[in-house]
Amino acid sequence: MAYFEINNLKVTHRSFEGVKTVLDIEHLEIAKGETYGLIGESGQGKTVLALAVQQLLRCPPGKIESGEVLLDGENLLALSQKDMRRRVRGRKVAMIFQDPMSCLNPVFQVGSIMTDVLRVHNRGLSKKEIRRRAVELLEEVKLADAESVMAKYPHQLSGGQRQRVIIALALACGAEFLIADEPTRNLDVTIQASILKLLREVQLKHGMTVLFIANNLSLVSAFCDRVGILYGGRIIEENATAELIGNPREEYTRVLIDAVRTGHHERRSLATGEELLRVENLKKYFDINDELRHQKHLTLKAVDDVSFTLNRGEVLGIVGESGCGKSTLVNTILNLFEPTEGRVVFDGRDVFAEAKKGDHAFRRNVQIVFQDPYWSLNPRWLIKDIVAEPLDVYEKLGEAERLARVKELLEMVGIDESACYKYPHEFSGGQRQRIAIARSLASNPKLVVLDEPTSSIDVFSQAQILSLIQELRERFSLTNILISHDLGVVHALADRIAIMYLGKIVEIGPAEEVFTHPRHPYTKALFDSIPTLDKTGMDALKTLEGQIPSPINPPPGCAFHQRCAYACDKCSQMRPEPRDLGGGHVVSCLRVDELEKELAEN
Amino acid sequence: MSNFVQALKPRLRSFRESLYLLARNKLSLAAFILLIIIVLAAVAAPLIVPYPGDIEMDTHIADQLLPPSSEHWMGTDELGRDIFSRVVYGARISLTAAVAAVGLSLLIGIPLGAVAGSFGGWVDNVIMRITDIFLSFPPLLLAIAMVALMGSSLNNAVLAIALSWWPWYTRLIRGQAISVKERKFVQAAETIGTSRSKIIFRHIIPNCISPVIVQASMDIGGVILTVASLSFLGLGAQLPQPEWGLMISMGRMHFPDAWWYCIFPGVAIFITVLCFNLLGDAIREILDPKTRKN
Repeated sequence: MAYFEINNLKVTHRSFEGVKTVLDIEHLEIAKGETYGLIGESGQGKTVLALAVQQLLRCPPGKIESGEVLLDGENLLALSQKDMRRRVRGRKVAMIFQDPMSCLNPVFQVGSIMTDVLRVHNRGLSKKEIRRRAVELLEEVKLADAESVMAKYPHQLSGGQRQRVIIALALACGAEFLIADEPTRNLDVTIQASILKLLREVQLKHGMTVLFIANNLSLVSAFCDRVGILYGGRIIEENATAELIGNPREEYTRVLIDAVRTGHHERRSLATGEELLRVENLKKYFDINDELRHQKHLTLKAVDDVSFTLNRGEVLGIVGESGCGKSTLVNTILNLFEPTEGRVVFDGRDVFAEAKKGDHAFRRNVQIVFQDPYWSLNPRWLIKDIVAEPLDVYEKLGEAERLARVKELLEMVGIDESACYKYPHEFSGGQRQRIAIARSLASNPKLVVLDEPTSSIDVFSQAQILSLIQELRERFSLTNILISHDLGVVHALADRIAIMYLGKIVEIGPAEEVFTHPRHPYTKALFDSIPTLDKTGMDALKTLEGQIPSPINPPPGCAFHQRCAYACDKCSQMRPEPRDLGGGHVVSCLRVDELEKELAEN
Repeated sequence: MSNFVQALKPRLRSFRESLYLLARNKLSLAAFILLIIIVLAAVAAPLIVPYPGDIEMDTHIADQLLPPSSEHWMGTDELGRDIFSRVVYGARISLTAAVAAVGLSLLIGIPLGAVAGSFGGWVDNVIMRITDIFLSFPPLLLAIAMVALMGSSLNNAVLAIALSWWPWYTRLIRGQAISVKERKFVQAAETIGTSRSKIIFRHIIPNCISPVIVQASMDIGGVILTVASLSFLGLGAQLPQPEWGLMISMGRMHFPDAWWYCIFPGVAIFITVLCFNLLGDAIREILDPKTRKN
């Protein structure tokens, strides 16, 4: 008999436009100890499902119309809120939410959050025992130095640590059914892998059954036994993981699979030999005065001595964990931040010197497409005004001409001209990103920076956005800087790749070369920790342990040596200099030659 | 022409949605309907009141201080004037005065707050320290002092209220501006090369206006009270203007024998202020982007 079962669950949502069915699940069952992956993009009803089965859905506007949710033979939907609270939530069903940043109450220390939960469910235990239990739990989720974590506030922990605390909370009351709603979203790729490993470990130890909700297939391929695809509130396909990936029946599933399969795009390079952008020894330091802790005159080296050149028509991909300085680097190149030191030469002209003189021709030639099109378009403007913003600055056009230009730009990115008189919220993420791209092209720029252009839009649109970018690149012979942690995207577009770590470029080279033959240990570790469809089973997923060191107080020697699997004594003493290995492949690692030999021998 | 129609469509849609959200809360819907009635009555006052002459100079000494009757719904005052007519007319005065005072303080407060928030640094410091000085006086006392300087009249009272009220909006909008200026579309505008003033007035202000509108609609109630208080003290509207506060002030001398003289203007103040407060909550719900997803 199934341990968890949903029958004919129908949930509706009421708004001023009427009643809409958001979830309509005929049948779903999960056996005891199984890991079931529920895949769907945003808006397909994943979170509604997670909340509805626990009776946590906000009603109204939501309403559970019919159906039953059986856990161990008991219909959860028939229970009262009081019973749910007393017997089910926490005790039988635990949930891990998607955003570890916001689901720990910032005014309480981790210790009191933990003991609060433990106390509710273990009346009769003494304070001391509860505290001991809390520390045990934190140790179980592999938080180093659990005692000191107890005394910390959530904001003092990193995203990965916070997610571990949340997992500890889920374990606190011995629930056997765990709902994990995109537990690794918003976490870095390297952290993602270690959280997944931890989840698997506690699952095995406690014999838990897991409903794992995710928005892309590569995550679950390693983690789940069976996978269901949720689309429009229905489960359209369901199968064992390997079977589903190898032999998808539905068109939608195929799109989902294609979207995460790396390197399936045909890349056409447009690179020329002519230099467009040269960055020389660029540094951006932030002064920090933390008087509260008596630390004065600290410098945060967000970008530390970065140099590279970019040729016309080329795409440079910049890859790195969050906090490595990639955004600061781009913002400094764009002259949004005052540089501490260094030079940026664009099209033969010194950008910073000309900006000081008040010449802003550079602005017109360099545009940026931001990661999240939800935030990068002013929600109170009509689309026609958003797209025309650069036109209003650089070309004073008459109303009719302006509108004609906007329509032309919109058509170029595949948006119907009726969009002119709509607001951003009336469009999907993919459409919004198209609009953002149209805006970035309005001033005929030469260089367009793409900051994670596909990471916050649904999988369906990602591939289309990528081919749109490629098409526009050819049409306008654009040069691009691409920031992304999605190797598939980088693979699809970049001619060259730069890997950043703690404000420095540790490896830069031709994309093909770096992908197939990464030389810096960090590059290797980064690539290995990123889940792909080809990595089946948890063992294929390598983790990169440890935190990124603080850029305020970087470790001596090679900044990576504390996390590096190949570090030796000299790594902690000497600072590696960039070394050209030929063919424009430059690596900053002291042991690059030795490692090559070692690997060849094995 | 078709462009114009197209431009109107999203606004119509959001108007319908607003109505839907408003109708969801029965209490605020009631307040909204009552306010519409009050506003209509104020606008149409000369047409609907039974004794339009009583607003200004007419006196009927024979009819003085009559209790409520079918003839005079709210009774008469010491000069025999119909209190119902004067209360309805009073809505005109109170509403105009309140809207003018709040509007004026918004006009001062919003640009100052937006500039302070988006520039930061010394500009922010100068503007905010000035507002701090204003904020360290109780607004009613500050207004009384200003009216005392400028001379008692309804117009001066409105001006004085506006001058003592704007710092609240400056503060509110500065806080909003500080968070809005970090949003990506502002950064996008910077990379595009949009001018500083356009960024402030077209990007930042429209995106931090919602809480200010909510605050302002609630403040209208408070300002109506302040206008009434100033008039009650003889610093606002002057006789024979049918201002609610002034009427209560005059009726005080005949209380409790002619209770209707004080009570009905008081009830008018009470209902109007309550309606504005309830409406403020409804407006908050309507403007909150979370309640109107998609």
